[in-house]
This record gives sequence, C-alpha cells and structure tokens, in this order.
Amino acid sequence: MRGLYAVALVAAFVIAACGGGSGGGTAPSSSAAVTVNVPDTVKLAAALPLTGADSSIAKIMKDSYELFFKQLNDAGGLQVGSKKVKFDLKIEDNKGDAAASGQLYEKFITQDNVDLLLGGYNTTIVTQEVKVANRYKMPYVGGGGASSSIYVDNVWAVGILASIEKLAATQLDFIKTQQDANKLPKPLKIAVAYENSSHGKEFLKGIQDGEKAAPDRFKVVFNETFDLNGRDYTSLLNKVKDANADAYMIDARVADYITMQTQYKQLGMYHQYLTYGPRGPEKAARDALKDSSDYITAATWFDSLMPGDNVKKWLDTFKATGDSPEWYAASAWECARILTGAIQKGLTIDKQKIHDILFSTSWDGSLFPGGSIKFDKTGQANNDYVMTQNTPSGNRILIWPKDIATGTATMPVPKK
Amino acid sequence: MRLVEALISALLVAGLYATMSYGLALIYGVMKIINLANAGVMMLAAFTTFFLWQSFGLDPLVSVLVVAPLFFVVGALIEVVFVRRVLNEKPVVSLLLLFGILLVMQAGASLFLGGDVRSVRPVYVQEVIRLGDVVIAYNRLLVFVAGVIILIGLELFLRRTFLGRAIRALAQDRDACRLAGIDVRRVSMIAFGLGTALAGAAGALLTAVFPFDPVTPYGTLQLKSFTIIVLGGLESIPGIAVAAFVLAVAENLTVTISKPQLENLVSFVLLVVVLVVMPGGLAAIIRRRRIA
Repeated sequence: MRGLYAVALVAAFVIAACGGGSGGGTAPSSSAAVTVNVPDTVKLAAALPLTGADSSIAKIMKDSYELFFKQLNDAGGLQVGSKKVKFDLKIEDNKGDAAASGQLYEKFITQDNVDLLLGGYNTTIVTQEVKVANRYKMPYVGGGGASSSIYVDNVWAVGILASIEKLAATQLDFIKTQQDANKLPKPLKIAVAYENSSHGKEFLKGIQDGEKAAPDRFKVVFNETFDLNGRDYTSLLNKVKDANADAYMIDARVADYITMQTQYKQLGMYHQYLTYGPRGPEKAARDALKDSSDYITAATWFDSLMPGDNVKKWLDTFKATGDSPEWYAASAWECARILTGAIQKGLTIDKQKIHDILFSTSWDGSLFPGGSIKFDKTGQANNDYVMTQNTPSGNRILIWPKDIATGTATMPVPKK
Repeated sequence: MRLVEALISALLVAGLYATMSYGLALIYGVMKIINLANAGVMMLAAFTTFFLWQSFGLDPLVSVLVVAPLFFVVGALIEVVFVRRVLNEKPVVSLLLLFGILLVMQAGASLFLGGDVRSVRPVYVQEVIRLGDVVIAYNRLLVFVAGVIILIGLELFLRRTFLGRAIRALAQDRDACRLAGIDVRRVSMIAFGLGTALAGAAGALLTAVFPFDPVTPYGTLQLKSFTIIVLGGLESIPGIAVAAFVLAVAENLTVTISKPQLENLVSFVLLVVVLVVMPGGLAAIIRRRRIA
C-alpha cells in the first residue's frame, strides 16, 4: 500500500511540474501571471490618407488592417497566454497631410489612450508619425514608408519596407544580368527623374552609388527632381528627351506615374529600359494607362505572383475585401501580424517589452520575400525586392530574383 | 530644333492657359470681382466630363456642349443667391465669399466623389502628329483649337450681339448703363453665368490633357490664370490670349535653357513684376500707344 502512495505522490509531482491539470489549479503558470497586464481589449490606431491623392492606396491598407482584426475578433480574439484578447482598431483620415497625421498620432496617444500604433502611408507622412511615436516612446509598426531618412534617430518605430537605395541597387543588379546577356548596352546611359522628397533623393543616390561602383556599366547622363502631384511634366520630359539616354529611371508615386507616363507617350518618347521605381504593376495604373504601361519594370516589396503557401493563403483570405492584392495591402497585413505577434510573444502590452521583442525577433511566416522579417538597429527591415515587368493585356511577370521568376524579361523594351 | 519645338509647345499651352482665364476676365470686367471659385467650377466641370465620358463615352470636346450650359445655370444661381448680396460691399467681402464657395466645392467633391486623381482618356490621348523631329500631342492640339474657337465665339458674342454689347457697356460704366435702361441685375447675372460657363468649358477641355482631383483643382495651373489676367489687363479678352502666349513662351524658353523646376517660378515672378511695373497689363500699354 505504501508503494502505491509513493507512486501516486511521484505521479502528482510529475503532473504538476508539467503544468498539467485543468484551469483553476492552485499553482498558476508563469504566463497566466503576466497576462494580467494585457487588457481584454487592446486599443490600436493608425492614420491613413483616406482622402487626397493617395486615397485609393489608403483604402486598401485600411481594408487590410480591418480584415486582419475582424478575423481575429471573430475567432474570439488573439490567444495571449491563457487569455483571449480582442482588438479595437481606430483608423482616422489624415487627408494626406503630414502635420495633420502627426497631430492625429499625438491624439491617439494622449487622448484616445491607445496601447500601440500601426503605421500610415507615404514617406513624408510616416516620417512625421515616427517622430511622434519616438516623442511619446510608443511602439509603432509601419509599412507605408521606405525612405531610410524616416529611421534617423529612431528608437521606437519599426518599418517593414526595405530602403529605396536598395530598390535602386536591385534594379541595377537586374540590369547587369541584361547587359551580360547583351540585351542592354554597356555602359547604360541613364536619365533619372525623382520626386522632390527624401524618397526620391535616396533613389538617385542608389543609382549614383551603382554608377560609382561600376562606371563601365552605368553612366547617369541626366538627373532632375520634380514636384509631387504635378499636372504637366512635358518640360521635364523634353529635357529627358534631349539627354539621349538608353534608360529612364523615375521614382514617382502612383498618380504622378500615371500622369508622367501618359505625357511620355504623348511626346513619342522611347527608352530601352523604363522604370518608375516601385510603381508599375498597380491595378489602378494599369487600368488607366492600358498598353502604355506595357514593359515597364518595377521593384517592389511584395507581389501576389510570388510563390509560397503564406502568399497563397493570404491571397485567399484577402479576397474578402474585393481589393486588388497590391504590395501595400500585404504590407498592412504584415504590420498587424507583427504587432499582434509581439503582444502574443511578450504576453504583455508593456511598451518597452514590445519594443524589445519587435527589434529582437525574426518575424517568420512573412508574406515578404525571404519569408521572414528582421529589423536592424535603425528599425528598418532589409528584405530583398522582387521585380516585375508589365506585359501586354494588363498582365505582368516576375523577373527577379531568378529563382522565383515566372518569365523572361523583354529587354530592350520593344519600340512598339 | 528645340527652340521651334519650345515655341510650338508654348503656343499650344497658351491655348490652355487662355481657355482657363476667359471666365475670370469676363467676370472681373463686368462685376469687378475676382472669382476665386473659378478653380472649383473647373474641377466640378472636370468631374461632370469624367462621368459623361465614363457613362456615355462622351468625348471631352463634345461634352463642352453639355457642361458649358449646365455651368451657366450654376453660375447664374451663384450670382443671384450669393454674389449679388455683397456686390456693393468692400472687394474683400466678395473675395472671401467666393473663396468660401471654392472651399465648399472642394470639400463637397472630396466627400462625395472621393479624393482620387482621375483622368479622362479618350482614344486619341496618346496619338501624336510628327512634323519632322517635332512631335505634337493630338489632344493638346485639339484643346488649343477648341480654345481658339471659344475665343472667337466670345469676341463675336461681345461685339455683335445686343447682350454682348450690354455686357461690355456694363464693364465700362455701370451707372450709365442704368440710365440707358439696361437691366443691370439681369446682365450681371448673365455675365457671371457666362464666366462660369467658360470656366466649365475650360474644366471639360482640360480633362483631355491633365488629370484632376478635388483637393488641388488643376494645381498651379489655376494660379497661372491670375498672372494671365493681370498681364492681359484684367478685362480684355484679346489681351488674355496675348498674355497667355507671353507667359507660355516665357516658361518654355526658361525651361529650355534652364531647369524644369523654374517653370512655375516664371509665372509668379511675372505676376509680381507686372503688378509693380505695369499694373494695367499689356492692354494698358497698347492703349497708351494708340493714344500717343
């Protein structure tokens, strides 16, 4: 009988040590103790340019954020330790104004008492938002600004978009392969036009760095800025025409891309290689430009043609919004996934702990190239880009990196 | 060759500029008020053209025939309901009133139509005419021709019809018109309506060339209209055409020999210079020469 008691006692210790037994036991697990700090509903907020030139993009980002949290809440909430946590997401319109967005983020923190922040869209605006996040020491996960200037002196924000200089470098790496295949001339005479912002300046710098590193391959024969939301680019385009470049590389926003490309065609211009930086395959632009946007090359942070189960699963889920699965939709989704992942991992909404987890974790299961996102010490991710080329009938192919290419790039661009 | 191309480009751009400015000049001439709502009217006309094109496939050039009469009515209503009440007040009152109407138009359009940048893309949007090395965009040429037709039509109306002569008389002396038995209120309403119809026509035509949105209606293009009417002499329709050409040539030559970013600066420097050096504009200089 004593033996039986001894076995029962040992068994009881083993079960207790393994954390077994149903809830309500006398020995609470460590996770249950920490989740006391997580409220039943976590308050998050973001400001987006829901009116103005970027409203279509903002609408898609909003839909993506909302779908993410709707799914979580509909499933009863996010499992944080032993607790299900729901999310209250507040999205407000900054009207495309950087100062207004800064004020909104300040309001989110000081008046709405939100727990954590999600990011907005466009470099100028995001820069302002990140400043506010840093002033109030509030974790911020953004996916709408890629300029490295956003992250100068940054401590509290993380951004999932790789830098614009890397975007330019990626395009030059691709061009090298085309030069080696005798499809593009060596050296390639390049005309660069860039938006008058840090985004644009970094694009030019990326190309100039490439030129310095390989002067036998690249020669920048023209570079000029242009104002955002312009209506008439014919003066700039006439200058580009006079430069007699082989390639025309532009860094522009979607609206400016549509305007400039229309006027480019109206001036009967042609270049062997044509890119608008990260723009090119957007549905809105392709619908507006039709065959005028054929053969434009773009380097983006995500494309729905990318392979992988994560991408397929997300595309199926995202269908519910009825939106085109553009990179900024995936970006918003990733921001929400990473921020909620940090809460789940830390079992807390303590700002310092969330900050530490954001910076120290490799965010696997990502939609972005490489399948994982890791922030460097500045707070910016450094994932690779994917490159696409528009093809006739509103289609496109992935052309870079080689291992995921879905077709061969048509270089030089056909004269028509 | 670039110089020839620049001059041709200037001529075509001048047509656009002049079309945008006729309405402003007409309203100022008759009522001595600066219609700051002009930009809002152009934007709403552009949206009307956009929906006509989207729904019925109506070409922007043809839609002018629908848009202009529609905005004549809109203009006449604005005059009767708002402008008439402040006409005898200090100029700043009408200026602020029309600025307020512009803001209402912008906010309303943004709320109900969304803030997206829209563009009308008729089939010829990318067609070009090549004259040797010189390339002329078909849509710009068509808009230029339409602008010239509107200029000729307006001049004929103002000079050959009784109503046109009444409008011109009102521009010269309001009290004398009253004494001569002209219904000043009615003619003012028609003049404001006509000015608004011209802004509407400009808005419709510009859709064939430029994208538009409710937040920044035609951006700096609209501000250039002010330079043109000041340079043209505020009330002179032919003066507007000449001023538009002068501005366009100045811009194009500056850009050709210098940087594209200077294009807008030229316009605003010219505005300041004209206001300080020749406040009567080109029309005053021509008048002075005639007298001499």
